[in-house]
Amino acid sequence: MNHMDGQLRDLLDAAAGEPPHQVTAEAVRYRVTRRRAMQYLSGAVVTAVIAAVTAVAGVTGVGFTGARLTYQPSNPPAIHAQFPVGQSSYLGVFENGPGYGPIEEFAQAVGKEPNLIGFYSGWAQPFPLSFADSMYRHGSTPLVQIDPTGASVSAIASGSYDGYLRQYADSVHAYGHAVVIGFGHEMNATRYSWGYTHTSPATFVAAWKHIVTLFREQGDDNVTWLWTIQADQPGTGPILSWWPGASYVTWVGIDGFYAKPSDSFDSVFVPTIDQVRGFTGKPILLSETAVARHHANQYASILNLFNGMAQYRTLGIVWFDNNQWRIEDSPLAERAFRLGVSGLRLVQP
Amino acid sequence: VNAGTDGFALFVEARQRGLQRTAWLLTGDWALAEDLVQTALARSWPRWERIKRRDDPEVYVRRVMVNTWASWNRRRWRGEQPSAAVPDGQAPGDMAAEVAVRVAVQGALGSLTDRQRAVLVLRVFDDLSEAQVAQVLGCAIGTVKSTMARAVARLRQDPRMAELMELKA
Repeated sequence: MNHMDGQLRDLLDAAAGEPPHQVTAEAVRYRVTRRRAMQYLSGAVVTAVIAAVTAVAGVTGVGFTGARLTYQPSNPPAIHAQFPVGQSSYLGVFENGPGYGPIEEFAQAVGKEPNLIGFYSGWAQPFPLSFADSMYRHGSTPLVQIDPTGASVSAIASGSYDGYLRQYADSVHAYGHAVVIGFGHEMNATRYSWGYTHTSPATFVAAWKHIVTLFREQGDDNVTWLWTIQADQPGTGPILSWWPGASYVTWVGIDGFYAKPSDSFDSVFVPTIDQVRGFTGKPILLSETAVARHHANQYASILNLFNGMAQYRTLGIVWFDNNQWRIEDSPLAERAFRLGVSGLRLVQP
Repeated sequence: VNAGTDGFALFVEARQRGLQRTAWLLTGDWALAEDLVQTALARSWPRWERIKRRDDPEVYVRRVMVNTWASWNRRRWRGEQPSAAVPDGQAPGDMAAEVAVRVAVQGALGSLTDRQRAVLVLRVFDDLSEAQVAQVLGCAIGTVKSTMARAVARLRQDPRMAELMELKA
């Protein structure tokens, strides 16, 4: 190890400090046992639901599977060019897959079926057609964030990936129903390779315009383009510099989280909403949000989130139901959420 | 409780502090760090006997931990809040210096990409070899080298880090 590495090591060592709690073998074993029990239980529920659906389908003569899995070019499905825009009309969720099971659990917990389902699409991965199909069957719409990890943003802008993008656009077109698509979410923050201080805003904007134009040329008129920024906070860049212009964006997405007990709608979202309103009147979706579960006032914060969402006339929220943000682990949070969603008027795209 | 799980308990007792400190450098948050270590251990425990026979448990658990962190990141693992505010309230005297280091390092690590951060923490803090880091991250040794170089260059650009490194020199 050289001298500079030694210095760095000392700094990391000093910064890390002491963990506040011990991790014990008992806690780990308890966790494993509990997870197995949960898996067993949710497996049983899913089996029961499938059995019920199959029974109904059998009675009414409607085939549940297969009907929408193939696409016939001679009879193209309807294309929804316009997506309903209304205040408080969307409830979305991101689940850590696989399949629809976790989404059903979320719907049960909050007492409402979400109408947007978030999905991160890795670069060079195909559009998840069969997952999108199952969303459609459940009456919800895919919200796909294309994540260009591993790709050069300038190469995207200059057309090096057009083959891949055309294929993707064709799959989206073949799907034939409304899809919300974002590219390079939270580019104004530093955590991603396409973000602030790693890739220049001009390069990002060029790539964004290139992708939207390519999809349009492929005939995709079922896409709602979601330009997604991270809510302004110390360390993020000036958001206007990533704005591709009104003709390339359908909705503005803002990602913001209640991480600290003192966080509120006023501190997390309002400054960013004000900035966005300074340059565009496009509808705003709170495209990724949640309240941390170890919050002392998780209940009040969830209500505060729903109130702010309505008060600022946004389209709705997409709950990031993962890790420390999971709603299902807290009965009190579920109650607040049920109250919150009772004020939504969900639309069917 | 059989001998195998006792071995597991001994390992957890001996290594949980070190693992949590690595996890903190990756996540910048103690609650997340604890969650990450617990998850990595929970994934390793059912295979503990095999791990002990075939691998160095320490390296194995670290690998599970970093991979878990990386996969959670791909799924947008939230919680990092790069913040200008001093997190721990009052910090007079020596404590102030300590907090300044913590805030500077946290901020600087937060400006790295996930891969840069993992390489830096494993290579410098955990003192793994380039080959071991490549193995943990599932990439080429050349990638580890170039990523490490970019990570260090980036940290040096950070004015607070540059100042701290100057002081140490």
